[in-house]
Amino acid sequence: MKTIDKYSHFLFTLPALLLYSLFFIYPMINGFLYSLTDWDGLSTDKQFVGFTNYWKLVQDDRIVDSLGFTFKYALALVIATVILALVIALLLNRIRRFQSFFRTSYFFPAVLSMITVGLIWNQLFAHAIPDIGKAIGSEMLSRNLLSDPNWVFYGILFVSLWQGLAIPILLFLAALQSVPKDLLEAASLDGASLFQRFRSVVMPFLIPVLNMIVILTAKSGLTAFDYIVAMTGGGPGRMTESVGLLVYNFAFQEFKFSYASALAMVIFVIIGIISIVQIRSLSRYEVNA
Amino acid sequence: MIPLLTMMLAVSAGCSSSSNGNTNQEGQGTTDDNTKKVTIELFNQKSEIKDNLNQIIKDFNVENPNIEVKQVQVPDSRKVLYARMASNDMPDIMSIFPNESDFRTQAKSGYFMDLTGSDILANINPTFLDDVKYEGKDYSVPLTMNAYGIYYNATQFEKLGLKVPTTWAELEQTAAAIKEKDLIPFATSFKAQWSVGHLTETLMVNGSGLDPVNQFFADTSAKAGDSAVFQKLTAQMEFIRDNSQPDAPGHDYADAVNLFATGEALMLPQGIWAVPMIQQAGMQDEYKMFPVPNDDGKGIVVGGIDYALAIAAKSKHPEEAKKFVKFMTEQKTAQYLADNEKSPSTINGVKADAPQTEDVTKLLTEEGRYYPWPHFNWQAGQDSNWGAETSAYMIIKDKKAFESSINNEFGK
Repeated sequence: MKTIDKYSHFLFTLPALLLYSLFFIYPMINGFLYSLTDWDGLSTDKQFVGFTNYWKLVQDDRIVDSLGFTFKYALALVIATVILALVIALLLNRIRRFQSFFRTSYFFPAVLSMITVGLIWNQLFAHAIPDIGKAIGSEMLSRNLLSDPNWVFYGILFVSLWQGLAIPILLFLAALQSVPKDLLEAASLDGASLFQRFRSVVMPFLIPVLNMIVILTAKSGLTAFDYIVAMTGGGPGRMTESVGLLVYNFAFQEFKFSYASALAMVIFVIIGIISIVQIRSLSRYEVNA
Repeated sequence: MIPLLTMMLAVSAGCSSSSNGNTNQEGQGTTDDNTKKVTIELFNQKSEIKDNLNQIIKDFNVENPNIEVKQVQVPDSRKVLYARMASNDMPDIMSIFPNESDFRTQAKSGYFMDLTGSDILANINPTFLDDVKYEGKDYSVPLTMNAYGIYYNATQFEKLGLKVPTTWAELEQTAAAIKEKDLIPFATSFKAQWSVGHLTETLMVNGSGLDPVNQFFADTSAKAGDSAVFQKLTAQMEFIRDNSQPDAPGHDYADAVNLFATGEALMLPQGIWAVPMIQQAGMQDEYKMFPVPNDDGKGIVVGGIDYALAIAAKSKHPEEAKKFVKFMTEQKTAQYLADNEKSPSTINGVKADAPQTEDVTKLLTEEGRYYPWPHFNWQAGQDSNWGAETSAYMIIKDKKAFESSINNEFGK
């Protein structure tokens, strides 16, 4: 009986552990092993080459460019998501009429998959927006912004925000509603201004949610893949080739399978480090509600 | 996404050592005359001929009632086929692209049956067989060809009094004359990277000849900035760009075809594969095709094998598979395919009835007028990178960046 008690908690986690090991741990170890070979994904033979692929990664300009785009994109996505989601959540929180209509409208894009969103917006950018641009006589809008080197970054960012803002808005709304009313009233009575009340009373309750939103959005920016494939395919040229897309291109377009595995390993480590730093730095500001 | 990609990479790789099964449905049913009915799988990578293939299979079954041919066609077929090959789960017969370097790598790995000297190849024009041999051996059965040229709106050309250009200078004059009439000379699609890749490979071979082009890519000391081949190409690319529709950077393949079909643009540089799409787009005017002109007035045609089959070396039913492939090379079958699919056939005595493209396709069998795509000599994947870089130059117009990316890509 005692033995069962001792191991019962382990037994409960076993199914999840087995599935996780089979679908995540095993492929990852296998991926690492492949990254130490020269396998191209086509031939039957492969040689062990040690860390050669990792050394080549350091010297590859495409990876530097791709990482540069990905970090810039992830940073822009995090900043824009936090600001816009917070502003919209604050407004939704104050709205008294049509509250459920607005909430549903803002949540609607979240139910679509990113590849679908990418394909829809690809068509809108290619046909609908240029038609509108021509009708209103705007030269900028008369062309496909996704093929314009100056605008493609913002085009992708816009689509990602359009789809991705819903969950952060919802999380902020939930956090805003957890702020005790008596605290806000007390601050008001003490003469705190609107901004002071937000900074000193509301903000501490938002930090845990903010923490989560920053991590989730940063992860989504750093691993952007599907909607970029659907909208630009990494173009024009390689201007929007995110690291996720680069891994895919190396493996399945250029048949450098082991090289792609090495890059995937490096990205895994980078994202892991960023996530740990984020969790540690933001958790300092948390309060226990 | 990254863990998912890692997983995709590792799972498809991991399978290579774990599976030894062949999922061919081996029909074990017994017919009345006590002979076994055998099912073989035909993995088809060309969706356009799916229905034609089904008809061919029906005809084959009349003569061979004991062999059931099951046609399989999936989205993203190349990746699916390669994953199946890596996991030892090959179809009996598969359509492949025998000019490409990945085919050579796979042939080297022993995936395909050696058909050298087999009577399966007896009906095929030897010129086309020579192009796809690997180390002197035949691992594929080429059946149809593709070719690249420039479509033109023959009705409008006649109306405007334009004649079909045969030299590059004439092409420039034609474009200028079209522009004067407030029409668009070329319908192009710079967003479709593969499309720009095909256009530029053709321009290079036409402008400089295949040997200098091959030499440029093979010689790592020949920098793009100093190469006459490369400089001529960029000049011709600029000409095409300056005479395309203003939206060309944002346009895809279908957009360019539409522009041509609606008569807004009078020329469309594209392969013969675009005919069904032009028809679908509702082209009313008569249209034809001319070879991309070059300086000496004898434009050449660049192309390659379009539809070809290979048999798995480890097929459980090699004789049945060979029988079907042999049936595909028979004149009657090839003529049926040519009549319906319209691509030029590699089978002796078979002629495709396609008046729109015949001025280009007739050069495929003319001495010194047909050359294969240069990327057949490149490493796997370099063709898609070439498409990405040439498309970038058309859109971003940064010549220095274009030169340096080509130098990097080809180890210069």
